Amino acid sequence: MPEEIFVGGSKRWYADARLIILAIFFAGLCLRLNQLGSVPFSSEEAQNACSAFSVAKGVPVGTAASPAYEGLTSLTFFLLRASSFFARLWPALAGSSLALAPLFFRRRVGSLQAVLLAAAFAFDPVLFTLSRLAGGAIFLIVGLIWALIFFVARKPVGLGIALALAWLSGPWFWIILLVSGVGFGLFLLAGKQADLSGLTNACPFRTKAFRETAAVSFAVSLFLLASAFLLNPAGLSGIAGGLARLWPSSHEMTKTALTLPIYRLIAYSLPVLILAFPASLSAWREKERWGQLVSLLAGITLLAILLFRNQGTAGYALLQFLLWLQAVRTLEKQVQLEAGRRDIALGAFLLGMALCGYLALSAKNLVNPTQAGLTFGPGAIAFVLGLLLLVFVFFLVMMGWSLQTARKGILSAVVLSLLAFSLSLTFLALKPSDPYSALVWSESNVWVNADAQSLLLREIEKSGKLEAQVSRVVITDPQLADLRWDFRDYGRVEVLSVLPENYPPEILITAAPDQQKAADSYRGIQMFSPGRVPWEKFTPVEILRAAVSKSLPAESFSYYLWIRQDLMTGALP
Amino acid sequence: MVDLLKWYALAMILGWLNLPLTRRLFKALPSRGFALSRPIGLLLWGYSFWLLTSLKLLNNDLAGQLTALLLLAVLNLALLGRGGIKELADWVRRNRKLILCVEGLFLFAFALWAFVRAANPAILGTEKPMEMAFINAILRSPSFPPNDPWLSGYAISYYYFGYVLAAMLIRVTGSLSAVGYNLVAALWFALTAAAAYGLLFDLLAARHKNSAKKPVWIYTLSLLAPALLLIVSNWHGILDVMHARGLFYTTAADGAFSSTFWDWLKLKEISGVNPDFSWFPLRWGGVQWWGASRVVQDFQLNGNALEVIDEFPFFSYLLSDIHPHVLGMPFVLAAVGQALNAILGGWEGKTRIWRWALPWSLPEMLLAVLSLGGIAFLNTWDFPFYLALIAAALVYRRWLAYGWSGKRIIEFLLLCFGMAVLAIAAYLPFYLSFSSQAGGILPSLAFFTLGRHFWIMFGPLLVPILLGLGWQLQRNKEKHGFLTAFWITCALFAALFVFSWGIAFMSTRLPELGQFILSLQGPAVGQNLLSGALIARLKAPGTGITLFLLLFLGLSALIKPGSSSSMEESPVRELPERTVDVFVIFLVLLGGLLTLAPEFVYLRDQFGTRMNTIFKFYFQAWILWSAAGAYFTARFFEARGSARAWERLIPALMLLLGTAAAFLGLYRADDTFLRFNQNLGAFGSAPLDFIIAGIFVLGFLWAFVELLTGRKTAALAALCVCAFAAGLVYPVVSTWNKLGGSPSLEQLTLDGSQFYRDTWPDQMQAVDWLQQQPLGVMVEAVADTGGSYTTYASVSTFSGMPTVLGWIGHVAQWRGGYEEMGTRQEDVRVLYSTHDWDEARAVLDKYNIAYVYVGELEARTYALDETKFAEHLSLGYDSANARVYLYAPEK
Repeated sequence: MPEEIFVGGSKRWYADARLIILAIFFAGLCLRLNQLGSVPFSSEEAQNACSAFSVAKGVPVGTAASPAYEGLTSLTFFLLRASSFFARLWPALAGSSLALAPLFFRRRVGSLQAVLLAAAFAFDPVLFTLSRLAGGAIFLIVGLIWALIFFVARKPVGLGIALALAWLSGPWFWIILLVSGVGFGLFLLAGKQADLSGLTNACPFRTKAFRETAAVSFAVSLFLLASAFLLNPAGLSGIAGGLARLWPSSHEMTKTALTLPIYRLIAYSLPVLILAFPASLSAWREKERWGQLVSLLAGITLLAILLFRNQGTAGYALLQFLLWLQAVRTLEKQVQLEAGRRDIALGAFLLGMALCGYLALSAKNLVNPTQAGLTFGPGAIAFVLGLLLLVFVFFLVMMGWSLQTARKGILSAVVLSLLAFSLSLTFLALKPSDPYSALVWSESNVWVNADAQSLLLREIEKSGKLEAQVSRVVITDPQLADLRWDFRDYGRVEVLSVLPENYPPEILITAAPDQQKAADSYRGIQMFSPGRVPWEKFTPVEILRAAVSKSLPAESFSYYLWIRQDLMTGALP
Repeated sequence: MVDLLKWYALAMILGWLNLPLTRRLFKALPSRGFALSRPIGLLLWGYSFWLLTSLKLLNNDLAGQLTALLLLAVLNLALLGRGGIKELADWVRRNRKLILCVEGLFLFAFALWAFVRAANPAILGTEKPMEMAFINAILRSPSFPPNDPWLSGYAISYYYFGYVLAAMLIRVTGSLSAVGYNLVAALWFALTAAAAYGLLFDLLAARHKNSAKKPVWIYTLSLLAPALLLIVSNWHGILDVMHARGLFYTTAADGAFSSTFWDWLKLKEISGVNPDFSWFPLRWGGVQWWGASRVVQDFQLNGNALEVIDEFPFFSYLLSDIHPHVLGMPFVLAAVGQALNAILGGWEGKTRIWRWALPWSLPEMLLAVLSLGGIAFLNTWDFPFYLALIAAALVYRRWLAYGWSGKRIIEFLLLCFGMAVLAIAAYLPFYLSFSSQAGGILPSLAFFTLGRHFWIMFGPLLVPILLGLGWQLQRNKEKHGFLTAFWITCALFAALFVFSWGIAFMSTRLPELGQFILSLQGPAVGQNLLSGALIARLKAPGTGITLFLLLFLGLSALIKPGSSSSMEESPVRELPERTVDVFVIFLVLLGGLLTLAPEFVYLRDQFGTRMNTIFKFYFQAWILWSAAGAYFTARFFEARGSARAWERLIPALMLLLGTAAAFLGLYRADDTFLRFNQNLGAFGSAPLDFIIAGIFVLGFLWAFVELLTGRKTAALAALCVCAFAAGLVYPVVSTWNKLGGSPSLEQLTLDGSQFYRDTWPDQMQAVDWLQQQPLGVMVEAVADTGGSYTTYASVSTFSGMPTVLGWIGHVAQWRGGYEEMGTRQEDVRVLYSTHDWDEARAVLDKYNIAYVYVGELEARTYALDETKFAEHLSLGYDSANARVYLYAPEK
């Protein structure tokens, strides 16, 4: 039964939280499924999808980066078909489910916070983007949150399944163990033992039946997910796959520049960080146990993101989750704040919005002076003046009417601007033509739109004798190996350093135009891809510029797609 | 150094992680199996990883290994249960002295042997390349059974479990495999030392089970076991030194030397008269250390000498071929620990399997099955010995509980059979891909060990054992079953004689087989093999007499009068002291049987001689006897009571003189000390002569004075110390010789491939390049002569890529013949030397070759035509002296 909230005799808009949360969930789900297969794939995504595809076909593969992703996706490929949409379907579904989580906490946190949290989980650009990537990053936070829900709700079977999902999400599960250990350790060191006793006494783990059921459920889920529902029994290695990726001896480990996590945090997490900050501050000031713990964990997670920057993106989702837990408290206060003079507050709000718009524009000019034809000096003066004006207006309203009116009017404008900025990033991730999100959330190459390439190949198929199912594709450069995903429907796709002598393949993919002598008997077309961002070369100014302008200078690259000449009947399209 | 620390940390983690399980399974041992925690943990981790990978449930990668480790961790956590941590912490507090001793010894042994390996790390010569090839092949194989590195397209056909364990440690620590190779030697040395220490500790402490506090001397005297097992060596070393010093020589009027003593000894490397009047023997351009592993020699009836291997642990570790017999050492000690646990009642419990109720606890049985199966997979030869030991220990418990009857023999046989079947079943995937080279049992007629060789080989162990058995018989006032023991020993010898000569007699009736045996054992023309061999043996009965005495004494100490004749089942009450003594006698008897059996029969292999049988059997006898010898020596020290002042002074003086002698003797190349040990003249002309002689004079004086003062056990202890002192000459001299003097710190490296990188840099760069490439078949030169022990096949050895054919002799040994090799040697020749591309391509396609290596050995071995490769293949790697061509074979 939905709780009803009345303030001053009127029913609040968020009173029927259940319905609102469900609506938010559906909106989040629809947004996530929109253009899901069309946005560019990165190398990592292609690798994950290829791996799941191989499992579905029964071809042995190495241990997955995210066994949870591989298990679920390979089963989907096996039961349905392999496509870019299905490759991203499970992360999208899992990510959407996050919006439902507050339903189970609404009595504890209140309807408003629950609704705000649901909206945050549904539309936060980090959680949104990560749940549209073919990989296991989102499964960690989803698994952990649902495990927590089932734990509190005393549902051992669900707890086991959710924990298995988090366990198999990748290396961040183990980092989180470390983060939690350090966090709780610090918390206990700060003399909070007594405060936690209530929590431990209420722990359902104290009953044997709960423990045993949860353990069995966990073990079975682990087994099924890791073995890709028995499609890949050797996938059980994935049980320690995440741990193995943390090993210093892991040769697959890539070096990630420190600028990459800094950029992601500035571009994507800064608004929520700003919103979370006041709540965290007040938690420490008022010695509020829960808030202190959350902010402590967020701080350690932030540190872990920088330290374990080459271990994927799951940590950002965790950070975002923790930050939102704090940020919604700020938002709640803001929403519930009663202005002394509503009309004045509205006016201040509109003025504040205008000033925020001005600040956004001047910030854009500041970081991109050539575009505006201004040098840095005047641009900076314009920006600072705008900022001062905003502060001035705040003080003016405060002195003229009241602090509440000023906070309600001006701060609401600021908060709304920050949320709008976040939301713009969310919607940017939906555009197939814009590789910005893909470039930010990938450390490797971002490929040409897979569907565009498929279109091209279909054109060739139509015009010639090329039959995908019986054709052989050879990729001669290991760096292009991930293009296998685009050719998944072809009879045989191989990555070979040399061309087979007896039987030249129908399609050949090379990095350079003169890479193979055999290419002489082929007709080729140069393909362009967005490439990757040279994070290691980024300067702080460039980081700021790119974050504000939402465009990244990528090192685009090209490769050559060759069709065997005897299969062609005309010019290449 | 970082690698060293990583390996040490991993060993520590593994040991402590597995402690709950070990404590649960070794509950009758005073140490609760603490010293065995590491080998047992390694075995269980390796087993689960190997089995799951063989069943295609895990990938052969780091994640697979860590998954198996997680399973072990979960098992231990489950055993620990609630309140377990507190109980474990209490146990640790109560046993901190033992824990400190074991951990200290482990660290010392690990660091010591890592240092020795760092001073001579090259994976070069003998069978090191083969072992490196196995490890790298296992690391590169996607699943199990792993690829044979030297016969592409086949799986390894060898007992390769030890290499799986080595590869696991290398992968988890992230070391280079060539570094890991040397750290495996160091780690196994430390594991063995700790396990031996724990075993003797348990033997000694079990005697004091009822006392509230263990005597402090147990912690010190337990060091005897690792010392006797791993450091004390055979007496070849002291004889070598004496020979070099010119002892036992006579000089004729013309100045020529002669020596009946050295001629009589018939030691391969130190017979003859070539004294250099130095305290430091040198042969073969500096290789002195090798001879001690070739003490025993077989002689055909026509007088030809045949090579026999008689390695002992110190030699094996010094050589550092990480061969199966070395890799098996900690695990056979764990099996001995399990047998001790069984005899002390640690297995007691009830297990119901279908309709049968077994009187033993299931976890202990499971561990024994996995442990014994693991031993078979590590070094198949050892399996039956330790199976018999565990079964004997269990049956002895039954004997104590229900008395003696014929049922005990049936129980023993059933236990052996049952455990053998289960142990084989547990490791079934291995047996499915393994073809043994063993071709049955052959009678040993002309081949037997000369008594002097036997004593030189086992002297340091035989002295304490014989003295200990004699002492036990003498001090025990009750009657012994001398007569029964005598007849059993006689029957055993007679049975072996009849079996051996019987087979020989029957086989001489079969023309083909008879000819085979005749040719192997080589009677002279017109000589009868059976009678000729018998006469030869009767002329040299030393080993027979020694073993007869040993078995007779052992059985006498074991058998109580009347116990064997009574067929009624009645329980026997026995003190723990007696049970421990019985267990030690079991070790002595098992060692005795291991050395007696090859006097009459041996296993037929590729060589057709006793070489491998003696090697494998004597090595295990050394392990068993070293524990028994250490136990008896410790008992002598215990029984003598408190030491008097001079009893402390003499050993201290012996140690001091020994150190001084080693110091002075070893600096032969240094001008400062030259006068001490070169061109010394007759014995007595140099101070060092007196120092060295003084050590032994002091020892015997000590024993003599003890006897005079009526302290017999102290005299026996002194005699044992003298025997050990003689066995310590070899480790000192040979280590110095093997390391080429004192190594400088800058030269120390654990990288076993460094020599190759310095000598053939281009080849090793090609290896590095190949390691980055996808797994595929490669081809490199095959030596005309087979290539064994050379640097042929080193590209596949270090890259882990399977080559078409490696060391031919070894491939034949692993597979028991040349059938699988087919025409590979000739095909590889054709590939490199033909001018016809089609012909070359046919070879490439036939063996599915992806990488063609062309380097110095290829150019030297064949009339190389590289043009065809350059024209038709693309070049993957290119340098001045090494190239790798790529080919995409049709699949």
